[in-house]
Order: sequence, then structure tokens, then C-alpha cells
Amino acid sequence: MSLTAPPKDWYIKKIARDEKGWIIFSLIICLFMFFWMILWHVYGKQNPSSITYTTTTAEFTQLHQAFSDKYKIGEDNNLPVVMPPAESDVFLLGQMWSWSPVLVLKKDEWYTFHLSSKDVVHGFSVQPINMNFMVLPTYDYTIKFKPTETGEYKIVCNEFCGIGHHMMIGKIVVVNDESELGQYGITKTN
Amino acid sequence: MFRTCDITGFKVCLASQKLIRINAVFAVVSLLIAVLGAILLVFTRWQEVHLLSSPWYYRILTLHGLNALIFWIVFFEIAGLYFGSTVVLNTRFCSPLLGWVSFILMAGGFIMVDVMVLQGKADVLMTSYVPLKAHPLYYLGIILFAVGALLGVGLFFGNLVKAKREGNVGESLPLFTFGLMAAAIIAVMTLLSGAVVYVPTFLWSLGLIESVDSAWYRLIWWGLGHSSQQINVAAMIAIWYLTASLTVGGNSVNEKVSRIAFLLYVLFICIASAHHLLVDPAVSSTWKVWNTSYAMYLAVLASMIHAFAVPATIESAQRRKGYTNGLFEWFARAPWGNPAFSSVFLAIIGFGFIGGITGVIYGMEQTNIIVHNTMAIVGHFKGTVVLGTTLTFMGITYYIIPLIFRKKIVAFKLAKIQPWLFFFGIAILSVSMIALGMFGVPRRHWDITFSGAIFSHDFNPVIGIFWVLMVLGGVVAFLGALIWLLIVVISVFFGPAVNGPEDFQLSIAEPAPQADHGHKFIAPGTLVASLIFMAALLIFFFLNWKWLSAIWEIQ
Amino acid sequence: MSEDQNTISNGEQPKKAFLHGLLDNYFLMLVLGLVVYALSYCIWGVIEILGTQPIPDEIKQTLLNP
Repeated sequence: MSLTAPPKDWYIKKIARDEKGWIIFSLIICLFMFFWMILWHVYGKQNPSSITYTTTTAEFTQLHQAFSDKYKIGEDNNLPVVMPPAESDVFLLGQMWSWSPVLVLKKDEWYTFHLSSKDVVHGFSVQPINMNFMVLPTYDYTIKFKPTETGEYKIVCNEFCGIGHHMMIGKIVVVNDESELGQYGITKTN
Repeated sequence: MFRTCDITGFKVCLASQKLIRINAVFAVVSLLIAVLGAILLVFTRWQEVHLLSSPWYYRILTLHGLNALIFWIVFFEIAGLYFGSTVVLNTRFCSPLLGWVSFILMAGGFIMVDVMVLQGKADVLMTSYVPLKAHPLYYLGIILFAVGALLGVGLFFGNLVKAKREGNVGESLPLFTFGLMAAAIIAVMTLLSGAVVYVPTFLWSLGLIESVDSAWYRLIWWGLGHSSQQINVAAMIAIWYLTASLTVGGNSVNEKVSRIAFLLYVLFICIASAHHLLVDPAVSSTWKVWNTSYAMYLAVLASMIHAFAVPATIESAQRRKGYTNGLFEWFARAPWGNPAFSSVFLAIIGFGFIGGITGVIYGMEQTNIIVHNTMAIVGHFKGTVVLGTTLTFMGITYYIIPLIFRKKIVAFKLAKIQPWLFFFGIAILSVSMIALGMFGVPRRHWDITFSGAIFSHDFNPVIGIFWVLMVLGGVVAFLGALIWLLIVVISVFFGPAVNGPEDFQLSIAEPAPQADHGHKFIAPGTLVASLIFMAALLIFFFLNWKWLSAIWEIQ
Repeated sequence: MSEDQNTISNGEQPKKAFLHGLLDNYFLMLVLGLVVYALSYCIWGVIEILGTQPIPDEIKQTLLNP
């Protein structure tokens, strides 16, 4: 009875065979799951980055601006369209309520993203592949991405950031080469 | 001052009874607010209706979260802690005066927070991530509530000490009280985290501190936000063991094993607050993998132990009563007419198959990438907190009404249906949300058609069906919750009094006959069910890792 | 607490195993739980947050001083 003191021999009572078997089996599954996470860091291809830098909103905004100016190829809805070379650092800025700039990336190339916010906490959610990371002000979350399929992707904000939260949406285009830009409505102007 | 219960034989401290009643009443009021908010939210997220405006959506979402996840649960748990440390131990309340101080602090904080939210001065959602800023009284309200609750937890320990000193309890606590004790310890960690995070935030809102670091805030806040739900897990499982005793006369198949499982909770469950930081900057993968796995999944092991032990307790008792045919006669002949039993058994199934499986897999470092902040997370915790905890608390209330409030349950036939309505409603809601999340639908989002934005995104059109199912589940669950609320309120305030055992509509089972099974098989039916559960977990595990491997490469 | 031996005791064992004693001692459980949580989650987490470095100059230079 769970409302009364346990029987005197509660500590030395033998564990029934089925309960013992279940506990051992569960423990094996638990250890399996733990080591699976570690092994995925070795053999898996999707692992959150451990690299974060501290920054200030002013510094990050400056870097984001310099990055956008340097690799700008056009405009889309008043946002710069930026096509950085492969292997380069990409500075993506979240603020109420936009993601800037619009990015053009090449399939199967690595890019080092730097994610930060100019104001409050945002959520970096790339759709439709459904890949989600947190974006915090004063922290530069540095993550390497290699897009594996071409297409148009949207960055939805999935952390509440004020009344206009639902309007915060950005764009990433992944292409094989520049000739495909037209089909995503992007005209190269410079 | 005691009364001796004519149904259970327990000596009930009258001062304690009053405190249990008032905390339980406030729990029910909080749940009412949460449930009314929930139905508005369901009909806002369903874009066909899109009921609330953007500011009111986030306002009601803040209100719903706080009332459902904090106020309802903590008021109920404080009532439960007082019950488990006085009535169960035949002991007087150690300091009724402090009990009232605790209650007044909690009630004051609760009112302050809800008023601030409804006035639109705290549109920051329950998590209130800095630098989003609410009115100082909002933070103060939460601090008062947390301090009151911490005092209540302290009084629980005071009652335990008193019971021991007066010789009402031996070296080992009854298992139910032991489980509550685990919950109380987790509550101490939770509420201390709350104090650590909210005091500077309150000072910041007053302008006395320049800024609060957003990464630090998220780290400590989740020590409050996640651990508070772990209080629920421990309290809920304590009530599962209690219900097994009350309804079929079962005693844990092995008290040592059950107690060790609670110990593993105490030691490791709170570090899994890291579940919320798996795709955050500033903490490394080493920290994430260690903490999110509760130190190599030792708290998951504890849950697996309970997942076997509780149904095995019921099965073993039923078998000793003679229901020994086949694997599942004990199950078919269980007291399904007792709404407390059906609530708890459904809660076990829902918590395990929906909340538990998704919780373990979404809480892994890498798979979290494909679900973080999507509707799948909401679906997960509807499975744990609503199907598990809330349904369990609803179920045990059917015992509290006659035994503590001394009132008959009105519309008892309806009470027998209520757990099923609520279970199926939330189960459909929860699974639909999980499916929506799999398609990337964000949580906490007013408009996934992105009206007014420069770009738009069309989610996979198949989600339309899941929205409809979510609304359907939401409406059914709303009815189930409403019926429960009406039964409770009408019974407690207007119901006929219980004057003796003849007015008691439920029953308290005699302890099942003793039979020393020693080390043989005691619960073959439960073992089979547990293996099915593990198979389901592994299937969902591999599916999620397969989905993960289909996204971009990430380093 | 030793003077409580005369109440309801499990007298046949003069000395309890450590685990048995721990399971009967809620204050020790409270302390151990707090220690694990504080060290593993809070303190380790805060150390990692405090340990984050500024953006390295070589990353900044390529953009700011071309």
C-alpha cells in the first residue's frame, strides 16, 4: 500500500525476473542512445556547432553591412541580394521583423554562417527543409552549412519577437550556377 | 485539531484540510483560465477562423501558458504535498500560519501576473526572453508566487520532520509520500532557479540594472521552465502508485526499485533543462550531450522503470485477486467504472506513447534541429503535461472531492465518460501538432500565411488535414475539461455532503492478497506491453534520424 | 535522528547499506540533487557562456579592411 510504511523487508526483497530483465534492457537502450549522439558527431553529417563568439549589436551590424556590400548582386523587395563565394563567412542579421540579406548559395559548397540579432531573441528556421537554430543578440552563432539541394528556401522566425513576429521572413536561394538565378526572380544588377 | 475520516480511517488535521482545499480551489480557477484561453488559441491558429488579433493572440498565449503550466500545476501540487505530508502520515500541519502566508503570496502573485497580462503590459509569452520587457509588476508577481511556493515546499519538509519526531512515520516514508518528496526536492531546484533568473530581470525592468544577458537568461530560465514540469512528472507518478493502491489494492511490485527510480529523478532529471538549449549558441556540444541525456539517460531509465512498475503493480494485484487468464484478463477486469482509475491508466498510456517517446527523441542533440520551436514541441508537451499530469490530477480529484471536501460527486455518470473525452481530445490534438511540426510549422506564430510580409512560404498543403484534426481534438478536449470543471465546481460548492461511507461513490480497494512470487514473472502482460512501447520508441527514433539525415549538412 | 529508533523501525539490520540510508534520508537526497544540478547544468553552463571569445580579427579583417 503506497499510503503506509513499506514492508520491513523492502530493501532486501528480490526483484522479479521480468522487472529485472526490463530494467537491464532499458539500460542498454539508454546507453545506446547516449553513445549514438556522440557517434553522430563522428560519422553523422548534421551536428550543431559548438562555436560561438561574443559581439555587440553595433559590431555585428557593421560586419553584416560590409558583407552585404561586398558580395551584393542585386535587390529583392528592398533587401540586398548577396552571393558570397563558397567557403566564405556569411553574416545573417535578424531584427524586428526581417532577415537580411537575401542569400544566393551554391549547391554542395560549404558556407560559414554567422547568426546574430540586432534586438531581441529570434528563431532561424529554414523551410521547407525544417532546420532550426536560435539567434541571440550579442552572440555570434557560427555554423557551417552545406546546402544539398537547389531551390528556394525561406527563413521563418520561430521565436516570438513582438507583435510583427509573423512578418519576419527571409529568403535563401540555392543554385548550381548563376544562370539559374532568373527562375527565382533575381536579376543580377552588379 | 483532527477529525478521523470515516472512510479511510486517517486522522485529518483540520488546519491542513483548509489549506489543501484553498490551494485546490485556486488550482481549479487557474485551469479554468487556461482552458478558456486554449480554445481561443486553437481557433486562432486554425487560419480558416483566425479568431484573435495578433496582440491578443500573444496575450492569450502568455496567459494560457502561465496558468496551465505554472499556476494550475503548482497550486495543485502544493495541495498534494500538504495532503501527503499530513493526512497520509496522520500528522498535524507544522505551521498553519506559514501555510497561509505561502498561500497569500502565491495567490497574490497569481492575480498580479494575470492582471498584468490581460492589461497588455506583459506581451512577452511565458518565457519572457530578455530583452523583451514586461511591466515590473509582472516579474514581481512571478517572484511572489515562486517564494510562496518555495515556502509551501519548505512546510512539506517541516511536516515530514514533525511526523517523524512524533513517531507517526518510521525510517522509510510511504511510497506515495516518498514520490512527493522527490517532487518537492525538484521543486526546490526549480524555484531557486526562478529566483536567480527573475530577481535580476525584475531589477532590470525597473531600470536598476542595465541589461540581462540573453544566453544566461535562457540557461537559468529553463532551469525553472523545464524543471517545473519535472516536478509534475514525479508528483504524477506518485499519484499513479497511490491510485494503484486505492483502486485495485496494489503495492509497488518492488519498493526498492521504485524508490531508486525516484532517486534517479532527484539526481538527474533537472539537468535535462538543456533540452531547450540544444540549438543555442554559447553552450558546447559536450555540455549539450551530457545534460540533455540526463547523464547517460539515467532519468529516462527511471521513467522506464516506472513505466513497467506502475502497470505491473496493477497487474500483479489483479492476478492475486484471481484475474489470471491469459495476458490481459487483469486489464479487461480492471475497475474502469472508477473515473480515477480510467484517468490514471489513460494518462500512463498517453504520457508514455505520446509524451515520452517524443520527449526522448526530440531531446537528443541533433534530432532537435528538425523540431526545435516547431509545433512538434507543443505536441510533445501536450502529451506529457496535459495527457500525463493534468489527466492524472483530474483523476485523483475524484477522490479528493469526497475525502477532503466531503462532497458527493454530482453527475457521476458524466464523470465516468470525462477522462475518455479528455484523453481522446488531447491525444488527437497532440498527434496533429506533432505532424504539423514535422512539416516545419512554427509554434508561437500568429499567421503562417505571413500576411503583410515581403515574402511568403507555402507549407506542404497536406497540413490542412492536421489543422482540422487539431481543432477537432481541441474541441473534444475542451468539452472534457469543461465537464470536469463543472463537476468539480458544482460538487464542491453546491453538492450534497458526504456523511459517511454510504455516500462514497468510489471505493477504496482492500489490499490484494499476499502471494510471494519471489523472483518469478509477476507481470507478463505488462512486460509484453512494455516491449511494444520500446519497439514504438525505436521505430520513431530511427525515423527521426532518417529525417535528420535528409537536411543540409551542418557542422 | 538516532533517538527515533524506538518508533517503527526496521530493527533487524543494525547498519544500513549506503543506498538504503540515502533512500531514507531526504535531506541528503536534496543536497545531492542540488549539487548535481548546480554543477552539471548551471555552473558548467555559465562557465561556457562566460568563456565565449570575441569574433577573431582575421574574420573581421577580410570584410572591414579589404
